[in-house]
Amino acid sequence: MRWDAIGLVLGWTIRIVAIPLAIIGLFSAYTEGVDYAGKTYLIPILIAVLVSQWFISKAAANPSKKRIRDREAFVAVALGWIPVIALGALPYWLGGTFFGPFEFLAGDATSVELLRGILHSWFESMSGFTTTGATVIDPATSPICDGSNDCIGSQAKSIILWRSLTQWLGGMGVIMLGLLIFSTVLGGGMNLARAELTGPSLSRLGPSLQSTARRLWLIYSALTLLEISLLYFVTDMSMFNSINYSMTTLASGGFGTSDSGIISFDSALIESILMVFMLLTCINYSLYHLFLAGRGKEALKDEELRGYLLIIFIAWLAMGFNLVRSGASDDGFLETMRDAAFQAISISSTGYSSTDFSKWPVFSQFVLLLLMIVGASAGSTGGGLKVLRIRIAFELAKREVLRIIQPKKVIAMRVNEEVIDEEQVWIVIGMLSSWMVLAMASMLVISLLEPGWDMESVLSVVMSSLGNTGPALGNYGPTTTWASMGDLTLIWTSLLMWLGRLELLTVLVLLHPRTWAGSGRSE
Amino acid sequence: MRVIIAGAGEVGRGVAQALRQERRSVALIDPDPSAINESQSLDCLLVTGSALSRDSLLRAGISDAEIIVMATNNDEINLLACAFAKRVYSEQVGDRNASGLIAIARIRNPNLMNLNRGAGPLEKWTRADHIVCPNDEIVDQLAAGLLAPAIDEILPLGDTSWIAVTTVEGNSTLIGVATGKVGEIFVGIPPIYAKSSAEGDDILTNGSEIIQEGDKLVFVSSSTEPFGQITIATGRKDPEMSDRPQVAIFGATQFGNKLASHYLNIGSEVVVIEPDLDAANELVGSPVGMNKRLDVIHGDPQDEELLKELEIDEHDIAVAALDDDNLNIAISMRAFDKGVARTGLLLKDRSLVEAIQRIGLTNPISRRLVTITSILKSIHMNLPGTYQVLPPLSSIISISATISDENSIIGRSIADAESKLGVRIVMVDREDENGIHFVLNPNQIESINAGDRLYLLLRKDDLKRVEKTLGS
Repeated sequence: MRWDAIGLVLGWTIRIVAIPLAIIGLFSAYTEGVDYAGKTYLIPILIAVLVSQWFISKAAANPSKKRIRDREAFVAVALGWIPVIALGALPYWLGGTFFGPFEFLAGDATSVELLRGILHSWFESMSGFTTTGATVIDPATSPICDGSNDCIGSQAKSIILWRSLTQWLGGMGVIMLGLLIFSTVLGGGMNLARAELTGPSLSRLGPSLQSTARRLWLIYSALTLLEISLLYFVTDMSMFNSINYSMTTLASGGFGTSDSGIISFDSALIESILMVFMLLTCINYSLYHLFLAGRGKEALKDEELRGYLLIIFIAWLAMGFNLVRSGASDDGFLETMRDAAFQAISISSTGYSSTDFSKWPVFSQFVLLLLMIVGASAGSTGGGLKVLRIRIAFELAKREVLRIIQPKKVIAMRVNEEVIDEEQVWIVIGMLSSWMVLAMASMLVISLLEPGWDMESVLSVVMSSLGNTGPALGNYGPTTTWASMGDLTLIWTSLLMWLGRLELLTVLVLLHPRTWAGSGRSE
Repeated sequence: MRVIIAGAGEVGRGVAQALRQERRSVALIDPDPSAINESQSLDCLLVTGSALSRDSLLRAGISDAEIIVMATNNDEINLLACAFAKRVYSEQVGDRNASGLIAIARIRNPNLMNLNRGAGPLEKWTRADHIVCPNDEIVDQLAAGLLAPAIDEILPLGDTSWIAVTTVEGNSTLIGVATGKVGEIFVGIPPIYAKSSAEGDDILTNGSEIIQEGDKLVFVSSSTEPFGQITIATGRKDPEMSDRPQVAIFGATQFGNKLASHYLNIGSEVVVIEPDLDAANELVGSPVGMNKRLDVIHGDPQDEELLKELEIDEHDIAVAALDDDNLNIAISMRAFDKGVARTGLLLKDRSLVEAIQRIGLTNPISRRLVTITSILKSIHMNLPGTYQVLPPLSSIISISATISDENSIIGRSIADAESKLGVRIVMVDREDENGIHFVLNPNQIESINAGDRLYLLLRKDDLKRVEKTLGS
């Protein structure tokens, strides 16, 4: 393991996260005053600068002459999240969203509350950067909103904005940023592209990883700006809300600016705009590139895109039919169908809710659970298993059945008319089987940790965390925060979010002893 | 006038031999002394050296050459050598564009010609005037032969037409009919241009000859459709076959894959059996592999159990297209044995074809023979000359020639030209004002134009005279 190389990557990643912190700090100084901004944002910025300086100077003292290998790439990506999330948690802890050192010093918090404040800040930051969207900001955990009706809304504006920004950055940023750093600093970017195994390869977009990353960021930012302007100018949403919701939509994150989130707007127009952008961000970003290159027809033919849209469409019809027939919804037909559509699109990764779907009939809830598992398209900001993987798994199953009938028949599995490499198939199988094992184990662990939960809650919380969705079912539906969960459960679910965001294998590489074999930079 | 051939392998020697029979001056170049040694029996100028050597080309007499054929077994050398030969020629002759030298390159890998995946169009940058890659011809010829196995010999003529030679059986309704009246009995049957009696007298027909049992008739058809009629008319019988035959192909080789796509295009169910997993995977991964009617099986083509499992006896057609001649013979014979009515095989070796034909159970095609014919065809795009020998009628040959501007037969009707030349004109290739070529039957033509390309049948003895008239 070449720690110098990893250190360099970590150093740069931390240094770059200081930039958005500084921007929010300035915003905070303007809205909440210099005092608040100083304690909430300046401290994390200083820590970021010092730590990154330490990492970079350490690495610079021993410049690595060798190129980065796969294992360093995986380790750097997986570990890179830890300091980023830790930094991202600091504003919540220091700014009083959760019990922090200032509350402790003022005697408003016990030492246990202080520690739990750390956990809650960590969870909130993890949920943000992994674009999950589950929150623990609740009257029970947040000193600011004692007795308030709208706990999230009563937070400092800069904190709400920081929450949304962590999602926006997490949606694409940290990984792409990592790619950028890798190719600039170490020239090992391609290894990273493999760490983020997706469909149509990222590298195809541009001649180098840097230009690919730049283009993806450009598309991402353009879509965000477009959504902000639509929400602000077409609907009656405020500028602050428009910015926040746009950032969390494009990241397929799901954080809101109030406790009730989208439900509070109850506007068909806002929901329609959000639906469009939720869909747009859940398709492979390389397809936008094809569109821009004038190859729109090719992009529309993409099988994963078609598969994803088909899944959403079928789920919408099925849930709509179920809701109307069961009479579970008091709303009219059109409104019921609107809710079904919004939920179908949202649950596959974003996690907004326009209605409390935990009161829906079992069939519809089950459809939502399946959508949560399937997730979005590969190469999008969405989470879940990804449509492409499910597709490959189906093709594999089909092939194996055919092989029983005709053992010697040679069968090629294709996606978009291109044959899938056997090696790719094995990576997909590896990912799916580790997902299975991890999901099973997590359900066991959580049911042990939370004896009071029903089956539905255990199952859906695990799926929601692994799929980076946000809301779950049962006790943890869209209108409930996760604040009532036990401390160990929060730690476990935050780990699941991290694993889910990094497509499991990237993190699981860390657990393998071979990764760490032959430690020392002399290798 | 001289023809230089680089590569004294079976193909190079075959071309040299045919050209020598036309009494042309031929030089053979090959770096391998043993190949040169084997060519001693041909009456050619033999040069030991590379096609990419100035010295070899000079020794072969490039300044006198009219045509150079690159037929080594390396595609890249063949292509490069065309440009090089033209360069050397221009240096020697002082003709900057080397317009006096026609370069022909033979390539084996058809992908090279592909515009996207290969380096095509090759003619644009290699300075080769003709690229010969006869894969399509090989497959077409094999498929045409399998369409009507009862016909003795089916040979391609031009790009789209066929010469069919078949023997009249005792039960044929044609017996006693004049050759010119056959079309009245069998509507749509192609005309008969030559005939050979049971005694072996070969004649060009004039329409009045009475057909007798044992006669060999030469039909020329512009498509494969009338083959069935020819078979029935001559009193023979083809095995039953549906419009969409079930096809088994052994070997996912270049030719196997091409055959598979040929049969898939006509709606057949095709199974390809390939012993090498990589080759099988390659076929499955290719665009052809996406066809739902194609099954690719990885297994030993000689495995009895596998053949049983595939129900090989249920297939209408079986073709052995592996790279091993002996294996192909064994496999096609076995398929025939198992009850496949139409079997065919690809051979490299020319000499094996005749032996297999004599056994008569299966339809062999020699890749090299087809390549030689294709090269000769390219040569004769520029010189009139033997186009195709008809093995069953040894004294009749087919030639093709382009009519130059000052030729005396311009403006004459087909019948006029035929009687003047003493030949039968079987096909005319005409270019319209847009440069598009049309292949026309003689009865579609009022008079011969300058620039027309005529395909003729004639007696071997008349070759010199006809060539002279046509302006060789």
